[in-house]
Formats: sequence, structure tokens, C-alpha cells
Amino acid sequence: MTLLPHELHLLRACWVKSGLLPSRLDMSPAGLREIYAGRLADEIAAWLADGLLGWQYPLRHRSAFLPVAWLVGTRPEEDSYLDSLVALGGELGRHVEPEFARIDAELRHEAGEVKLGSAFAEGAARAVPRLAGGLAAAAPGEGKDEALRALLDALELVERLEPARVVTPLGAAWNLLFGSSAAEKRPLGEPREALCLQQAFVRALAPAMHAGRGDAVLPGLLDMFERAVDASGVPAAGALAEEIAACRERLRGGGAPPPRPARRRAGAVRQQVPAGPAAVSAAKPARWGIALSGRNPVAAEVTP
Amino acid sequence: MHTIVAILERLEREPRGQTVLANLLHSIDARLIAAGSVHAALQNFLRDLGSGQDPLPTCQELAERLGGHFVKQGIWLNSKEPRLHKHLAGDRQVLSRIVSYENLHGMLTRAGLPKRCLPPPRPPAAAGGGEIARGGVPMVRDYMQRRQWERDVLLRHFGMSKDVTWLTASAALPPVTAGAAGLADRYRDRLGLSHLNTGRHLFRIDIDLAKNPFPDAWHCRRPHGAGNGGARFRVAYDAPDKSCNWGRTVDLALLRQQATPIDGVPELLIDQCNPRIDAVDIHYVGRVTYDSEREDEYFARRLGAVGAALLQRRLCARRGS
Repeated sequence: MTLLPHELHLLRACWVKSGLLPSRLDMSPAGLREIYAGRLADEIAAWLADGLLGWQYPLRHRSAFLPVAWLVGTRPEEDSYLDSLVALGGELGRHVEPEFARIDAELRHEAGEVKLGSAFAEGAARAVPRLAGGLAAAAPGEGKDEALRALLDALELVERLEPARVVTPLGAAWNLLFGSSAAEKRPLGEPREALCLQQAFVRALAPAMHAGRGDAVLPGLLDMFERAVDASGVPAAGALAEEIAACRERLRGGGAPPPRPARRRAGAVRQQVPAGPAAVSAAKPARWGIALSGRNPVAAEVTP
Repeated sequence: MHTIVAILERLEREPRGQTVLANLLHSIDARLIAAGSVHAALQNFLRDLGSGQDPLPTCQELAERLGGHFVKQGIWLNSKEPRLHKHLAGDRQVLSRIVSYENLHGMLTRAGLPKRCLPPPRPPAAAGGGEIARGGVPMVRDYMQRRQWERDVLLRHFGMSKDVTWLTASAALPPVTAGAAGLADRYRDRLGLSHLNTGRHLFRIDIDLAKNPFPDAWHCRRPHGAGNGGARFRVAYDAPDKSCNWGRTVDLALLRQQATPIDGVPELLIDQCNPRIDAVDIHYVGRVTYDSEREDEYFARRLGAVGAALLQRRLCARRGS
């Protein structure tokens, strides 16, 4: 996907507002950029959350992802509208936010760039707690199914975009849905759907699971998922347990990190991920390793 | 300020754009979409394009964007409703969709399949088998054939999460026979899937309508503007009887031979398609062994010369009538 100039204008008109700048400009250049990038990611999160939820309803073609709806879910080679959003994120990675660059030049800060692609990926992560809040509040038959599907889609988007900072927003969403204070809340859906939701959280957090990050939330989250898998009795419990074990191994820092898989974009192809020791065997069904890549280098470029 | 005439003239310049013009005209003539709707969609496109300070998109960009714009205008929803019995007669009423391994893998993992159950898709150009390494094909084929995927997925619905999805009558497709040479190439060609080239592994997803009846108003014939259609989509087809209201794919093998007719198989469009998994069967078809033809100019000629001026007149005349 190549964004045409007017499509970029339309997107920026949605996201870039005067309120992105802090009220005082006499802070450090890095701090100023941090606040600007964070607020931009929040605006994108609101846009994405609205779009992901709107997509779940019949009139999606008129309401979701305005004002660039024609870019999402319309291409013949795609089988999911998320392919379009991943491609959009990749395309935005080439663009610097020009308004911040202008302000930066005026202040002679040289604080660096705010890249739209990084803000888009961060926005996807920040959309998750918004959608989780909607799911927790929805009653069965009154938008609960749609809220669940939107949240699952948001988590897949995070998994594929690999934003640099993902643990805090996803941890908050997890606590909202599965934490101790969520015990008295209404059930999230069928037990298998709840399990699928937890699996999606783990997948989205997988790139953040590597030794030395010191994120205390991740081991506890894996413990909860493991208990849910054990209690579910689903036939795939063994394969899910293997995914969990691979995550724990990464958290402990064991084994060499696997090579990064290519970001899956519409029309693009994936790079090969070696099968590892559990290679293909005709006699025994093989198991393939979950791709636990490191931080997203694109997103890391703007991380202070 | 850009104009509709400028857009049509830009499209006229290249074969891909000429194909779009021909399909638009044929869609109007076949009363699949109203001329007024096309005109309104083009005006909306111009409005989105803005003040005209940006250059007019290239022919290729226009061809791609207009399809997306038309989908979002919902024009296709007013197209003709296919008569299902014309192509779905018999004991098993089954609709099929052909996807690559990458697409299938995405659908299954989206339904909660643990990633360790299947090998990740490789680039189609990867040595030793393309998307699936040679040694992995028997395992993947058996996994689908024995319906192990149904046991392993967590969700009970199979998500094809697009705005529009096109399906064909299963009975119109060659039977899937294990080890049949060239079957994937035949499938790709019969369905006109010109974007699926060497190294792709194809799978047939069958949806049994007896187990998963869709609501009444979910399907229609595909006009231009409903999911851009790729490079080898055409509205007008050769078979004289069009009373079924289904469309026809273009058979890429016949097109390559410059044969007549070049009709492929019947096809229809549906809105979002999320069938129950017990209504779904997945069959491994095989690996695509050669690229599809790329004669854009010849294909545009086969659709007939439709100039920008002719379409402009038709848009104005029908709007006025």
C-alpha cells in the first residue's frame, strides 16, 4: 500500500490537534517530544478503537475507519481487514509528523522526529484498554459479541505491529478483564472465547517477553493463562502449554532469540522462520515454535 | 480542481484503467449498478481528493482506489441477487473459496489455533517447496483432511473478515485428488486468481449451506466496484444465459491461449462471512507451479474498447433519464 498525499492529509486531520502540545513549552526537548508522541498515540488509539468496533457491525463500510474507509478491507489479495491496517502502519513508518518537526525547528530544540508509524503502533496498544473497558461494561446481547471480536482484532493488530511499549496498556486491560477485581464481573463470553482472549493477550505480549525487561506483570499473567488452560480441558491444551513454556523460557533468558519474522503485510510475504529442533517429521506431527521476536526496531527508533 | 472527465481520461491511458472503464460500463448496462451511483461515487472520490493541489493519482493508483471507494459506498449491495439453485442443485449445497496457505494460516490462528500446530508460512519463493517446506506438506494435508484443526481451534466460528468475500459453487470445481499433478494451477486459472503465483499452496474451503444457512439478503452478483476484483475481473461474460445472476471468473489458461470463450466458474459475492466451523471443510489442493499470464493489454482488448468519452456520456445520459 502506498498512501496518496490526500489520504495522509485526511489521516493527520483526524489525529493531529492543537492539544497534542503541552501547555508549557519550556520543558526539555525530549520531554516535549515524549508528551507530543504519547498524545498523538492516544488520538490514534481512539480512532483505531472506534474503527475496530465499528467494523463488527453491518454498516461497517459506512462507519468504520472514516475518513479513509476505502483503504481498509477492500483489496482482493487480503483475507482480513487487519492486513490493511498492518500495511497502513508499515506505510506510515516512512512518514515523519510534520507539525512536530515544524515546532521543533521553531524552538530550535532538535528533539528528533515523531514518526507516524511508531505512533500508530503505540496507538494500537493503547486502543486495547479502551476496548477492554467496553467489553467489561457490555451486557450479553447488547454489543458484547462485537466488543469481544473488536478486542481480539486489536490484540492481533498489536501482535503484528509490535509496538515498543506494550506491557503497560495490555497489562491494564488484562487486569480489567481477568484481575482480582474482575471476579464479580459478568462473564466475558463462552469459556473458550475467554481462553482465546487470554491467548491473544499472550501473543501480543510475546515480543515483550525477554530477559532483562523486568516487567513483573508478565510471569503472573502467564500463570493465570496456564491455570485457565489447565482448567479448560480443551484438546489443544498441550499445544497451548508449549506456547506458554516458550514464553517462560524467553523471560528467563534461555536460548538464543529466534530471527525476527517479517511483518505480515497485505501482498507481502513472510520470511522463513526455522522450524528448530522440532522439525518436520513424517512419523510424528511436528510442533512449530512461536515467533518471539525482540523489540520492533522501527518503533524503537523514537523511544527515548 | 480535478474533474470526473480527468479521472476517466487518466484511466483510458493504460490497459489496467481501460479494464476498469469497460467493467464500469458493463456493470451499468447489465443494471448491476446505477449510473447515478457511479457518478456519485466518483464525485465523492473527487471530494476526498481535496482541492486539487495534489497531483491526480496514476492510472494504477486510480484503478486500485476506485474499487475500494465503490465498496465503501455500498454500491454492490444493490446488485442482482443470484439464483442459488442454478448452480447449487443436488444433495450437498456447498460454496467454496480458494485461499493460499498464508491466508488460511491467518484465519485459523485468528480462530484460536495454537501456533505450534502448523508451520508458519514461508515466502512463496522459498527454496524447497514455497510457502510450505516439502517435508511439511503431508502433515498439513492430513491435519486438514482429518479435521484436526476443528479440534484445536478455540472459537466456534471461522472468520473471513473482509468487507466482501467472493465464493464459487463447489460443484463447478475439479475434485481434489491427492497427488494430482497441476491441480493447483488449474484451480488458480479456473478461478482467475491472478495474484496467486509460483510457490503458493492452495486450499479449498467448503461451506455447507445445509449446516450454515446464511440470511436471505447476504449475497449478490459482483459488479465492478465490489472488491476491486484484481487484474482479471470482468463483468460481462461469454455464456449466453445470464439468468442465474451469478458472475463468471476469467479462466487464465484460456486467456493465455487467447481462446474463446474464456469463462471460468460461477461466482457470487457475500457480505462478511463467518461460518460455523462444523459447516466448514478444508482440502489441500496443491502447489502452484507457474505464474499466471500478465497480458494486461490483451485482456483489456478482450473486454472491448471503452473510451472515457463513451462512459462519460453514459453517466450523464442515465443520470438524466
